[in-house]
Amino acid sequence: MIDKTKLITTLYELSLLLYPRDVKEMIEEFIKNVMTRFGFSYASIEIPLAGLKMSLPKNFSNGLHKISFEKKYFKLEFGRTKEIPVEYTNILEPLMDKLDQTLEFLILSELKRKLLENNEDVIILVDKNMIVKEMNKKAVELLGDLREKPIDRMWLNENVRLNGRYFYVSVYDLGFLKGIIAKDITEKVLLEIELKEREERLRKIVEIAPFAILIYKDWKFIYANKEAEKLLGYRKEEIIGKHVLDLLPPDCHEKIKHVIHRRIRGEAVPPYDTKIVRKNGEIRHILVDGRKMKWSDGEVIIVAFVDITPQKLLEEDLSFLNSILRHDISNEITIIMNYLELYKEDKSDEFLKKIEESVKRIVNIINNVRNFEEAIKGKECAKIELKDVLSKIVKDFAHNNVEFRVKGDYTVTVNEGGLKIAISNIIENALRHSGTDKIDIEIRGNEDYCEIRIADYGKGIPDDLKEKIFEKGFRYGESANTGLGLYIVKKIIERMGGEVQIEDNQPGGSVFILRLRKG
Amino acid sequence: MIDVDLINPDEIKDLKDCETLMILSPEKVVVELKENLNYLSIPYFGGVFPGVIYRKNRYDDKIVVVRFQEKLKIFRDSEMPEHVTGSLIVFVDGLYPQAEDILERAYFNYGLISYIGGGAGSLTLKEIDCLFDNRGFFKKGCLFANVKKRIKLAVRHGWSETGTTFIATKTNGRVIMELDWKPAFEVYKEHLEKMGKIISEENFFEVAKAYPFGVSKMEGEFIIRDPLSTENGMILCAGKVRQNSVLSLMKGDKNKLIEAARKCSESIESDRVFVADCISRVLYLGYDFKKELKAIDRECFGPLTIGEVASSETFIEFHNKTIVVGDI
Repeated sequence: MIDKTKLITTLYELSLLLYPRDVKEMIEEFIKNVMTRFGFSYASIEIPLAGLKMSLPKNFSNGLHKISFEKKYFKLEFGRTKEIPVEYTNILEPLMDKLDQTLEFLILSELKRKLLENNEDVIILVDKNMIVKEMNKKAVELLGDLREKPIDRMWLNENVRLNGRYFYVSVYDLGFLKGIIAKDITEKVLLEIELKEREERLRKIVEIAPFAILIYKDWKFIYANKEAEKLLGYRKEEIIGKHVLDLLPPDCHEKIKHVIHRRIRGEAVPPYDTKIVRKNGEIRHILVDGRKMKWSDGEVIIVAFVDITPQKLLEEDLSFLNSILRHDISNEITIIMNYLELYKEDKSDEFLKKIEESVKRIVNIINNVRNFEEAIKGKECAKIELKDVLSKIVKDFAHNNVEFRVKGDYTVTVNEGGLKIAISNIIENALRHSGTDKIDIEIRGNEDYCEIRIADYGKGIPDDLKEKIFEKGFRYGESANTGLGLYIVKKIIERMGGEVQIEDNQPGGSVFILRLRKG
Repeated sequence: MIDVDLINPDEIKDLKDCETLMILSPEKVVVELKENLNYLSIPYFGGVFPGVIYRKNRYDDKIVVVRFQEKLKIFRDSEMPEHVTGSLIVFVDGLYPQAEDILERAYFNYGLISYIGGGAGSLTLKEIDCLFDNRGFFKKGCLFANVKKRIKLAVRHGWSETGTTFIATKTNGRVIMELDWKPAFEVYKEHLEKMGKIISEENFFEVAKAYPFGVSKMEGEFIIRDPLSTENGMILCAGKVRQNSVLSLMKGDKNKLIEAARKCSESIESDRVFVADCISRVLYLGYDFKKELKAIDRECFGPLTIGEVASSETFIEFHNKTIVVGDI
């Protein structure tokens, strides 16, 4: 018979041993007391989550009577030489449940405590008066042991700098206490500072670079240096935020999109040439190189480019001169040679006349080329009063018995020589082909552009030829000459950043419109 | 095989013809014992006790010597070997508060061997060098001697419940500071007065020796805690009292105590037995102590102890007011 008074007393006393403290200490005291009270001579316990395995005593005799309990957090076995009453299992079961609950609390609390204690963040618990109630190891390392002492209120701020270190602070309201978790972000901050300094150094270098540099991210410009401003004609603030394609003429968009995609993927793209549109609409040829790089805001693409427009034009000029020498003059010489052969046989004056015409054409070609050379040689631009220039040109044509009327005036900055050649060619063309007896020259202008409208009253130009007459070598009708005059006009005006158009005049004839930028 | 003799302290230097000597000395002759031990060359160990028992008598002026024909492994608590088999004779400084811890450590190390012995020390409750071996005397520790045989032992006390219980609401080791949330002595005194017993600081032990505390177990007798003295309202016991333990106020009936001794002795089959009998029990029995010795119906020897050690098949315990019998 179990003495119930003893049982109640025993269970009461044993249950009082199960309270939160060091797991090993609690287990050892609990087991010892169970052994004493229930006459066990052996106990073994395993608590996997606490890494605890204990046998009391460590050596024991086999063949003992045993009673065992397996719970969520432990396996426990008691043994003794005497038989164990069957009731002991039921008697001890509630105690074992309580042991399990206590272990759960202790183990989980200990795990949480260790996590907090060994956390690399500074963790501090303070009361409403900023008195420190608890702090972890990292906090003690940083601030010393401040338990039950006040702490600076700065720890309630989001950013704290202390002893040369930077902290990002989060404050949690825990009822009567506040939890302060300060993450040491010194490395990150220093890295950012270094990155910013590097960026700043890079900016300075880039700023004084003798070529244009643009930086863009997500297709939008975030930086432009002075050379870029100069080349594009925009101010830096106007460039920043612009879409990359906004600076390119539409015919270049596909090519550049492809290049940018390759750069974003990190592929190496060899330097390439393309065109850009300046703020004033002028198209410039550029040579571009670039790559992807790290920037404070993530990855960006930096591109450097130089203006290769002069080289491009030179190439075009060389190509033009080459074609004239190899093709036009060569053709005329062949004609001369052929007629000479015929003349040797026949001695006809007609052949001599043909030879003379060819020689004249060669002379004209050479004159045109010389004019063109003169037009492009004069690189220096100067402010000119258009009316004065036109008056001088008109004088040169006074012997042609044609009436000239010049109306309007405008001041432009252009290569004067080139402009003279272009206008003279148009007048000469009108006189030669249209049969006009009157030429009106009108100057119109606004803030950005001016137009020189040269109108004749001759037979006019059919619509289907209006586009073709500016092509190189285009000849039309009996009065056809070298086919270079209007081609050279177009080249010169385009070189000035302008354009040439042709319209019908009223009641008859044609109007050549030269459109020039003011600047 | 052992030989047991009762000798005068000065005779000890002449002892020989044994492998190991166990010496049980009353505290009154410790000075002479120390002088004569210097001449002893054989391995020895022992303790100084309030008194010793030899055959049917208690002695305060003679020494009990036990000659072992086997060489015992003798060691102190600071040098416990890894493994021990057979049995351990254990003498502990009975007034040392950590005595129980040492005994537990031995039990955890060596497990289910036999442990028999008791607490040495002075009845004056003053700390003395009460343990000794060939290296000298010491206190605040424990002395072990490893016997090859497995000693059979029995332990009993015969104390019974009064029906009064206390909760030891505040304790520190062997000191009970509070009983039932009040100063311990005040509560203890109040209950004794209800039983017609007047107790004061001055006569504390004279009265308290008849009214120890008992800690209940599911099986077997209560574990007794002997109240030795009082100071500042606290009660010092001869063994640890765990905080929040339920203490039964026990009472003595001399006949029951003597009967317990008899039963204890009877359970050991041997012509000669080692007896560790609590001095407080002796003091309580007074003249009737002779009856207890008589109840041990065979040749006996041993110390009168301050706390008793006994364990063979159960967890080791440091008993109070108990008699331990074994066939060393």
